[in-house]
Amino acid sequence: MTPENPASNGAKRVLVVDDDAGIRLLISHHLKKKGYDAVVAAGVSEAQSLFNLNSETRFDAVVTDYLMPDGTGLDLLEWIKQKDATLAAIFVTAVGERDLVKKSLRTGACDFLDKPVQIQLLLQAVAQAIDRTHRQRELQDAESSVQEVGKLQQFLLGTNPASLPGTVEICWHPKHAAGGDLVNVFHLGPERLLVVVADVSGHDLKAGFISAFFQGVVRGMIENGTPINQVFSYFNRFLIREWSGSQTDRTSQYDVSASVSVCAFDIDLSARHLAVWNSGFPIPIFTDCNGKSKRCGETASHPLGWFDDEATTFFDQRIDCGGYAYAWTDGLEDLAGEMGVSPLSLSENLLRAKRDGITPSFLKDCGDDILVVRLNLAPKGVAAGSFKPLLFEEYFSPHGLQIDRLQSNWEKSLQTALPGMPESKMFDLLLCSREAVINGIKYGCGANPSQPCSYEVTYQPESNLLRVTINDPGLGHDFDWAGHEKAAEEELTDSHRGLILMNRLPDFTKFERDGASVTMDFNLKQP
Amino acid sequence: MKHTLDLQGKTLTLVVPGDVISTNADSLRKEAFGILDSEVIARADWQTLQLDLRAANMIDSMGLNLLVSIIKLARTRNSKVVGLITNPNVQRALCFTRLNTQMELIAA
Repeated sequence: MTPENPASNGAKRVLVVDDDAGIRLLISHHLKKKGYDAVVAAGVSEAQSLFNLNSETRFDAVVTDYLMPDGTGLDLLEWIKQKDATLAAIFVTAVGERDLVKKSLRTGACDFLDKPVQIQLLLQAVAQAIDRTHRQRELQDAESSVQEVGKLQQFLLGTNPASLPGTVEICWHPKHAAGGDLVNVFHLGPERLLVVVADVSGHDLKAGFISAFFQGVVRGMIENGTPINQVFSYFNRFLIREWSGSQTDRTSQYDVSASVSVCAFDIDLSARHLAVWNSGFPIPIFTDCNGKSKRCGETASHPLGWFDDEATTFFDQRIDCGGYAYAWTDGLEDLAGEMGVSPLSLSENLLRAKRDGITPSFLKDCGDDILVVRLNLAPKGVAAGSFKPLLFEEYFSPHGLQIDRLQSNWEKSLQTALPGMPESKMFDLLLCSREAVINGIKYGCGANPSQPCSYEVTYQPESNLLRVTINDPGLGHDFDWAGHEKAAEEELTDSHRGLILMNRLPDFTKFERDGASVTMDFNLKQP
Repeated sequence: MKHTLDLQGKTLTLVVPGDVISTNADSLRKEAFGILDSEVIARADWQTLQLDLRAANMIDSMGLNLLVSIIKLARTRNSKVVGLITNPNVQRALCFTRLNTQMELIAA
């Protein structure tokens, strides 16, 4: 870094602190001669007073002696750093003092000059210190701007949905102060909402800028009556032809410099209809009021900004009795994978923590932005009481070999979603789930290896009820409960014990399709 | 799986090292029957087979089937089976499947 010429940048202010009047005079004389505004102090106290007096016009560097009658240069530096962490300092030290100062220094790097002071070295060190101070101040300003953008994003994310109590819940944990995640809610009618959830590639200011631009485009087009799928198409073209096309590199036509994964929910509560468009967002989950879950679309799509022929997927669903829809960014899926829990359980945990004003400790080392959105789809007049999904998974035949891993995942997921779950209920649920999933995979998927066995756990907070549902693609088989239980007890047959457990341990068990579909309810209220 | 025969030779104890579940039931079965079929144990005059299940926090249907096999073998020798259990959940699973009527359960 080239030391700047003080004369060309106005008078930079340098605080010179030394109890030796001769040295003060020598240093200040040469600094003034070079065009600096040198302000002198005879000790720590006087320096502190000058610092306070000059709080309006900041110093650009400090040159200080180490040992002074009313304190050391270290004391002074620590005090100054509390007032202005960006100010660079130079220590003027006698023989043997430098190592002592270095060892004691807790306030960051600084420069050293040996006594007697060589003027050329002094001027060079002061110029570099001023440069260091200014770079620190620029960084501080930039960081402050990013923080402001981040606060603005938090405001936008947190405020819009708050105007719709009970309909939209959001939990957002950005990796940095600003990022590209967004949620926008539009009123399309008295009982019709459009909720747009998106994740712009990157976690920086650039992502934040594209995010803000995208939000503006969406808002403008939606308010002018453009269907959301056309908004997606427009922004896809914009990203490919204008954004990436504006890059100077000759290969920019192949470059993807920005992409947007986006999902839009059109919720019509009066028509009791949900429509979902998705471009590159993790496939959302819909759970009806009875706790039956499904993915909002079967195939993944790619984000806007990748290809000309954008492949937005569409899903629609009746919502007669309400239910919930969940969407989350890939950051949540990654974190859930690292924790060995279901994304739905983690969502439940994060949304509850957000409601309680808590930041879970596991988010501290999270490597990505995390955004979770839960939409309550209960039409007006329909009482709350829907089941919230905690686990929704599909297993194919090979998973049968990993039943212990699955069980561990279920247990961790439920502990994450419902930390106070009674231990005995956890045992019953895990044992019955294990039996049901093994049965489903063995008998249901065994004959249909390409079709999955689905496993769902949902929770109804009002009744404190956990519902487990297992569906396999098989035909099931007729089951003679009384006969099998009698045989198991009296004749010690070595079969059907799993089914007996599933029939006895839960508070309620229902077998449908001759056992190919099993629903088990566990009441978490302690007896 | 450890096993001991008491000084009078009347009680054979099999110590199950942990859970008895589908993923280890086969190997536990081999171990248990390896012991029960060994010449020394088969010839001994034990009348009680004590299954020490205190380390088990879960017994699933495959595990229960293993217990049933052991009960059946003990019956061929006119021996009774006693289960030592610590985890109340395991005890509940045994009761719900009526194995408590086939073996004596002792909360230990």
